[in-house]
Amino acid sequence: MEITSIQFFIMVGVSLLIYWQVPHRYQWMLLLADSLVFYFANAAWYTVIYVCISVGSTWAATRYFAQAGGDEAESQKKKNCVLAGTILLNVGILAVLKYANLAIHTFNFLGERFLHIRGISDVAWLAPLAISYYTLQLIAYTVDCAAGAEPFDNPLKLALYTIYFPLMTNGPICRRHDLGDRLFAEHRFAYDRVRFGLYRIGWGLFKKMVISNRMAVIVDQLWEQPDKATGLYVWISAVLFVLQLYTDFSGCIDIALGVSECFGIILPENFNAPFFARSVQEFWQRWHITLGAWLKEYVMFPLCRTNVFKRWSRKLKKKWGRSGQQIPYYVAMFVVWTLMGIWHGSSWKYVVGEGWLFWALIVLGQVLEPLTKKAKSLLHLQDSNPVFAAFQMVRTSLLFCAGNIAFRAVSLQDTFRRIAGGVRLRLGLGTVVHTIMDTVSFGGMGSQFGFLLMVLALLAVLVVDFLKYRGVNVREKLAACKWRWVLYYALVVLLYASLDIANQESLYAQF
Amino acid sequence: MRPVLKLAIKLAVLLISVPVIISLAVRFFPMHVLDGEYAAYYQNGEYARENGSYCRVLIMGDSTAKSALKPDLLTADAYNYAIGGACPIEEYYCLREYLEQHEAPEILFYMSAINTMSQQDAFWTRTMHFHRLRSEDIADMEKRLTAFEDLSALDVSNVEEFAQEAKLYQLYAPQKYSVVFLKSLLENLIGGSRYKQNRELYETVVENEGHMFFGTAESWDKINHKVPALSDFDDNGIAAYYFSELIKLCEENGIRFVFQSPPYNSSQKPAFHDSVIKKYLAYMDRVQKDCPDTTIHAEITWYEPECFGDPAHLNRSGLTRFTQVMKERYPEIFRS
Repeated sequence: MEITSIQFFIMVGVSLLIYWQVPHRYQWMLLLADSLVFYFANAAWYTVIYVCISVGSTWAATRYFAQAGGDEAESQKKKNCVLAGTILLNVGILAVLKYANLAIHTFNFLGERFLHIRGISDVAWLAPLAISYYTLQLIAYTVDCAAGAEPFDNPLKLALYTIYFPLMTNGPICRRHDLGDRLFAEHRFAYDRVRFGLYRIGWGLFKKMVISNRMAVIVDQLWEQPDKATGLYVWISAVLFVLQLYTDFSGCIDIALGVSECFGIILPENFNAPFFARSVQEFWQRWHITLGAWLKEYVMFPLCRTNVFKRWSRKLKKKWGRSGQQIPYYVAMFVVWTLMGIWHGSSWKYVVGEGWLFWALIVLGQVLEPLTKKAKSLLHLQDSNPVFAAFQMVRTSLLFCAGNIAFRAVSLQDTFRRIAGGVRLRLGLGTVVHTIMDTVSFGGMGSQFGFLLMVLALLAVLVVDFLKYRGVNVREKLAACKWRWVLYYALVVLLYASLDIANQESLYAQF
Repeated sequence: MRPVLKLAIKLAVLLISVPVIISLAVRFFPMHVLDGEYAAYYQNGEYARENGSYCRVLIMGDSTAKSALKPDLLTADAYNYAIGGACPIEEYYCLREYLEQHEAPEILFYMSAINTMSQQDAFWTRTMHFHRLRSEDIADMEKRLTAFEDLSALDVSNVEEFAQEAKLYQLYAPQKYSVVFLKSLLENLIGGSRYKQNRELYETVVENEGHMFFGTAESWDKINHKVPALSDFDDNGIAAYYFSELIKLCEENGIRFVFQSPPYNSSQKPAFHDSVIKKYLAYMDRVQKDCPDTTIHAEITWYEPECFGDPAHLNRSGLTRFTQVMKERYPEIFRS
């Protein structure tokens, strides 16, 4: 049952009708039932055992924190041990189920190269649905409870917090304060809230079905021909893939947020007009916001607060001044970006492309900041200059596309091969245009008109993102618009017109 | 009215009215909505259902036949009953439908390009999209397809999927017609008229006894720059089966079957691998041996690009040249 499937929306519709009628104390139970239906429809039944272990251990630990109380050193020490143990258990399950093959591949690579030993074969263990999302949620919950937040009074409530169904495909990654109380508060039918939720669902479906599914057909064709990947071919393929990725990921997030909003549960935003970011750092504050915030809150800050880092920072400050003091901070960032890469998948290509590359770009940006400031003043460039701003936005987006070559490439070697092809002095524009046009004419795009619809839809997404960037509440504007029914009909016709394009599984599903 | 009900009704109206409007529009005003070759397909169906008229030479095949064989230039008693994009599947059912209403012709002159002899590219996008096959033909096809293990040529994995997909077209499902509906709506909004275009094409095809040009009539339009490359020739698939059924149907009705390969555009040579051509010629040889009463000219001839209106279809000058060749090769068929 995919988040874009008819079965999913039937389940949501029926659940909503019941949800608004039942007494408050049963509302969260209904959500839990829905979540279990969604879970079992999408994952092997026995994987729920792992979820039970994670929920059970977290429940026990957080109850312990609540009851232990006191600030005595002994009690705090015990608390820290329980906290570390719970985190290790949850991370351990995630690591074994999702990253065993990364360890095996690395071991095989090093073993064959340096020790001349035979490699071991891959494992194929099924992981629970959305394990990469809910593990982070449970860690955040455990840490927050250890710091004094109130734990849930019922393990089933913790289970709902863990597998709340709108979050089970693409996130967003929620924390105790994002989701905890909202899940269990009373929610009744509110016309405007449901209408806004439906707008969001419609917009998400529009991005996923009208753009992303169509774009996937072109992107697959472009990426399936590595021999052609030289010059502009590489960069255009990367840009189109990122557009597919954005409309797919943000589309599914919009559906999740919209569905949840209909139930009265407002979830945190995961995107905020990322292509209008003016630096790589800002880009990541606008793209997959909840993951970035989680890593900052639960990895970066705790790491910087450790005594080792503090001592190191003081030492380096004495030696090299302010710039020396920054080094531990960059190291902490390196850890964060390595985790960011690993979170994306069990391959070194993610660590390099989604992690280290962006770390290097951000550090470089900070180190070179005095120089760039000087250059800007020499060239009389001001940040408010719209042309300069546009240049920064395009540059940032292209850098992001470069990093995502690794996301779409088959392996790390393939990533390097494509990037090397991209810097070769060959235009490759004709090849890319022919491949796209052939796909449009003879491939699974539907028709040339379908391609035109996709391009127009993409422009619409950019316009809405721009309005969002400028602080306009697009949904309120739409609700007040006289012509809104024309837009509703246009949307529905476009969605029907896209039903015939093969639905692609979300690129961030199965994480 | 309770607000939940109010919202539910609005949502239902929105979601249901769209498919209803689209289905009704396509069902009752196809000339206003459908595009491309619809008018030619419609005319073809109309001719099949027309009672009584007799023609000695019935021309069938794909768009290469539709554009390269103009009855009035060939002989007085011929009719071009070919359909653009049609493979032997459609042609088998079209002949069956024709024979139900007409006296059997003396000769069936069949012309088809290699790709349409092997692939079924237009089966869904044109034949089913334009409702050219009757329900009984689709039901018959479903039965016959059960004998085939591999239905990938029809873009389906099994007969159930075929039946489901066919049903969507038969019921004018919105996912099949929304794009074309939207396109016609926009075309009409910006001043064009889909109906006028379709009507003009229909009248041209009627006037020319089924013949029509593709691309441009006078020179190559250069827009559709190439034909899709063919990586293999399927000599044992669904199309091959229907091709032999078509010949059998001719034999049963005392019709002489003549197959003629169309002239190909020399600029498109790279799209035709030698191995594919070899396999195709071997297949045609086999057909000739299996059915000795048929006449088969499957050899590939290349014409200069100047003879074409697009990558695959003859223009007026190509037509004149090819007509001459046909008249010389088949004087007993195309007699003045």
